[in-house]
Amino acid sequence: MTFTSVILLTFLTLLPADGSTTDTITYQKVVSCTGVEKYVLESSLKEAVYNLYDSNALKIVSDKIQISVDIKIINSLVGKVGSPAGVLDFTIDIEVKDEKFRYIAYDFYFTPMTRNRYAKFELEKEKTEPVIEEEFKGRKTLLKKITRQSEEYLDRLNNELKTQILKEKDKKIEW
Amino acid sequence: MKKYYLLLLMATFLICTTLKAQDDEIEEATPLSISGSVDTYYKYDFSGNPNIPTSFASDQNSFSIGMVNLIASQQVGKASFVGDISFGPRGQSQSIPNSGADNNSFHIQNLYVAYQLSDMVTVSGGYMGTFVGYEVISPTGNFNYSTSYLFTSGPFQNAGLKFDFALSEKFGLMVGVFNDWNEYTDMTSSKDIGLQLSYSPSAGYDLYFNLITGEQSGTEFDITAGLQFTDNFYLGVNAATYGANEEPKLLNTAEDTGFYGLALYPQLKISDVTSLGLRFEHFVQRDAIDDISVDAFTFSANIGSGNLKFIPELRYDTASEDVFIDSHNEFTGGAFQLVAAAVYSF
Repeated sequence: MTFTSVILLTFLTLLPADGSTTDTITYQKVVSCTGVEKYVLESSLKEAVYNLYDSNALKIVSDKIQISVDIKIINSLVGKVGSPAGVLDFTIDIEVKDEKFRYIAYDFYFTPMTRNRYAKFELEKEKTEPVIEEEFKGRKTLLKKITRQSEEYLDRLNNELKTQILKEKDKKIEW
Repeated sequence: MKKYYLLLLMATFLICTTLKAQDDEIEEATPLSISGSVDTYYKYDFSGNPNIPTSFASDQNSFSIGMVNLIASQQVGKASFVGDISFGPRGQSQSIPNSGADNNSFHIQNLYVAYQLSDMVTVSGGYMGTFVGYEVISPTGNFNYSTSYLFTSGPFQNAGLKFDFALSEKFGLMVGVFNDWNEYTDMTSSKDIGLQLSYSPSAGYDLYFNLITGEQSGTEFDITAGLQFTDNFYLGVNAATYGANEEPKLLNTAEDTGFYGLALYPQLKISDVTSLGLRFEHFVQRDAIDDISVDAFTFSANIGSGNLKFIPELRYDTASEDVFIDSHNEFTGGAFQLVAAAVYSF
């Protein structure tokens, strides 16, 4: 196997893969890394996620890398001006095979934010709820923001992981 | 007292000078946030007189405005700021001082910076909404549109320097030194001391014990609680006592000045778009000769699930003395009013 043959192909569009209406939304991606063996890919991905996340957010369980993510959902106004609607927590599992890896994002929970008496945004923890399409029927705009910003986040993560894997590949070639 | 203020300021300076320069740290910037609200109302007191001296919603038989509130804030790494400006009666003369060079309001509700010194300690400095009491100036933060006597009688803002300590997941402590209440510029040499102990045994249950005291400002003890018993039933509680001595002293215990009172705020969510709430308040204005008490019953609905909230409200106040005016312009012990308000938040 040579690293020069590494071609990263992403199979997928982000697929909301929720089979039933009682589960939270779920996303799954399979990323093809042609020519990269499992153990190399695994070590590259571990290196990558340790660069991207705080170690408290990471758990390595046998063959699986598990990441706890929280992102702010923003009500956009103009350009980079907006206000936080809340925080979205979810889990990403990354599983590796020869020449490909897969990640699944699941267990999406949304906690709204509100201004406190000092006009600072704070979480309304007692209002945390799972992101289930059925439950957000009356809040379609919020659900759209949650799904769009989750997808953008996962796209960015996908690109970051690809970049990191390529960097690792280049390092090894130089050596 | 002066030496204690100096010690506190010196301690702050020493802590701040030991901070690493922000440029050395990896910072996560959140976007600049702009949010706020507008509110408008109609009030009708059935006697034809304005009567109930609520802080806002004061104009009789008038389609009136509250305020336009614009709040900018941002957090970059451990540093953050809030700039909160307001225009309109609610956001100017009814809630902030007129102390500019031309005796105009500066329109500032909150203007402060904060820095997270550690996971446990945050320091904030500037002009801040008060930590005392249950209700707030912003119409988005209250269930009822008219306000309680306890809210009107307590502080609105405290300018100063405060430290928030997250003692544990359940307990928090705030210690601060402040100007006299509701002052952009402190005209006296004395300062107020503020303390807040918070306890959150579980999500939806919050208790706050507050103290603000100063030689010139007087002393207020305040207890505030928010209790989310079920998804649909919530109870808010506020109790306070305030006194001020003729002779300035740090802890005021006068029994013939000030006020005390209790307010309960049961609220019931009856659908995704409608909640009903009652505010019962017993308020006593202390007096050297005879105290005056008022019992106020305010029934409000909050209708709307998105940015726009409609608040129809009926309120009946009954006092121990004839302090209101009836439809024949005679003094009477009770007043009955209707308010219809709309609040849009963004």
